[in-house]
Amino acid sequence: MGAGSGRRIFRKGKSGWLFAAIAAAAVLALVFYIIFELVPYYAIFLSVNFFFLYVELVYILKFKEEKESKTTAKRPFVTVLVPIYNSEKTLEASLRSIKALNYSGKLEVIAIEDASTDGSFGILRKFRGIRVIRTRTNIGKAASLNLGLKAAKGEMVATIDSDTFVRPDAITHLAEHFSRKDIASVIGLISVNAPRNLLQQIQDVEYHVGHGFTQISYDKLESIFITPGPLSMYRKSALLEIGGFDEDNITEDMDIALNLKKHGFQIVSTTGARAFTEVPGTLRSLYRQRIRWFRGAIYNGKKYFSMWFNKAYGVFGRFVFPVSYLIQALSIVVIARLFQLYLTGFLGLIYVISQIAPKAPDVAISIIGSFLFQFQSAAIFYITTLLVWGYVVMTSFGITGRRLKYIDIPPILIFMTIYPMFLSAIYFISFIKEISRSESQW
Amino acid sequence: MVSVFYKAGIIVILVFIANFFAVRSLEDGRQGEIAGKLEQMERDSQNMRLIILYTQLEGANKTDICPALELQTKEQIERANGLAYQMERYAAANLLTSLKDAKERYMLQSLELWLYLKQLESVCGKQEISPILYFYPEKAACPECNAQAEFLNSFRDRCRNVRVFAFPYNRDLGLIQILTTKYKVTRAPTLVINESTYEGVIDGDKLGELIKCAA
Repeated sequence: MGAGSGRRIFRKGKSGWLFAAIAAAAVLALVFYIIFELVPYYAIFLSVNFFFLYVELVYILKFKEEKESKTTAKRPFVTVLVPIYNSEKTLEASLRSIKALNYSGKLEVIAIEDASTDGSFGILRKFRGIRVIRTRTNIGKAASLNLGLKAAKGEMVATIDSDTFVRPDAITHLAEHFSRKDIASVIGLISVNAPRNLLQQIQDVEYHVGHGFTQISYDKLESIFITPGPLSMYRKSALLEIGGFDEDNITEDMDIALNLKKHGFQIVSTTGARAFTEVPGTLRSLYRQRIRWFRGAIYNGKKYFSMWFNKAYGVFGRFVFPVSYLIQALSIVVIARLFQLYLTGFLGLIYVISQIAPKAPDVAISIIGSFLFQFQSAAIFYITTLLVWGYVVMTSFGITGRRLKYIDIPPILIFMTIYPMFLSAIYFISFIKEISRSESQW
Repeated sequence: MVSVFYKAGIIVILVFIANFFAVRSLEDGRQGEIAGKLEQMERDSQNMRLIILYTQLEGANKTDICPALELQTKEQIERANGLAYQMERYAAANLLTSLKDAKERYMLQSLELWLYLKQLESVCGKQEISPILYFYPEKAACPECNAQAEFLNSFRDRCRNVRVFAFPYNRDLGLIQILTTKYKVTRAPTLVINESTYEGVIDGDKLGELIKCAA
């Protein structure tokens, strides 16, 4: 289960959500208008820029700190849970990688087939040695995992998405990091499986940074707050203690991690446990995925609001958790301001292209050139941030040991420039949808 | 051991200071370049005033003063060319330094220069220079004006006899208000060519029809 389990979660009836969305957008527009009227644009850009730089430097400095990674020689009984919904394209390869797991301890595999409407069940039946739980109706990923959790006999429970392919030693690496009783979860390093187009290559860079650099920094700050759906391992007793997965949550992997943290458990990561997952190949599917992720993040931010700036949760409560939301909010403010600032310029460009270019191409080129290439003084302030950001990207590739090639440059440049704007726009839409409480779908 | 939060804070402050001085240095350079050109324009104007004062006091005849006046006016117009556009671009690109004073000085110089050209015509007769008055808006977005400015620059570069005098039509300044009233300027861009007013964007071909271009 990776692309979505299809189950709809209703936070509010359909009626009225459009009105609520328009009202929310209008209120936000008014708030932005007041901010933009009161605060000069360069004050907004510079303060946000230096805030981003500060946060990034904190993570870099933490990333570079030495931390002893304790492991255990124990090989506990592990149950692998594979929730499945309409995964016929990837399921066979995914199950093959699971069957090829090389783990010296006891291992069982439970597949929870969540009323797929495609050929997933037929593929599943071809595999021997896998316990199959089949639901009559589609119950969603979190509920599927809870079914598997009830049936699991292992001391540890690993979850692997049905569009994910794991390395044979992944379970061993995860299991050996349960070195203390308070460690309730160990997460691995997720990469994009064989990116086939530019969009997937951009997500490949994103996964390198997010699951590589950021995850390691969070680990050193004891602040991991997502246990990725593609591959994570949990101590079963801890999951049972907190009541399992929240079945009404569209991002159960974030919810479970936050719930574990709330109950005082620790989450650690290892780059030794590698998994490769399928990612959206079209803008439409990426948009849908991110709407779900961001709405889930906003929902969880609200659900676990008691952890914000709460000293009881250490650096996570005081810094990492609130900052993760603050960065998104500030990104939206910056993009809204950029849009307002350059709207006139873009209108001018449209005028130039449509009216002048056919008659006088030399004049049109001159206007477009002066619009695009006038060196803005403010750019000096952003160069440092871009250099730091570039360092993060390079470091992230170093974690997986992948050597960069020339063809990696375009996706990296897009990831560092346009892609964050695209994501912020989706975040804004998610925010509007969430506060207007429109229907959400896993 | 110093916490990463303090270390990051110190690095950010140092980066900010370094960036600030780099920006300051870049903009000081731009401002110095503009100031130098303006000072030259002002010296030229002073020179022109002296010639006119001499004419009025001594009652010199046309053959004595017209060549000097013509030469001085042409040189000054040459220097003013492009400065307005350069100032607009720097003003848009600057972050810390405002070019408000420089723009003000330039506008007054342009007005003075245009008046000298008028005086030159009244004393020495019709000149080969064809002035275009270009009215643009101040502190208001105007995509059409960007296009008009480019057409004017391009036309001026092609025709050595054409000189453009750009003024913000909505500026609260006595002489500009007199001109906007006289030429009925109500919007931007507006051009005044041979005492006729043209509203909206006038492209290169149309300019060629209105003014005989001396290549």
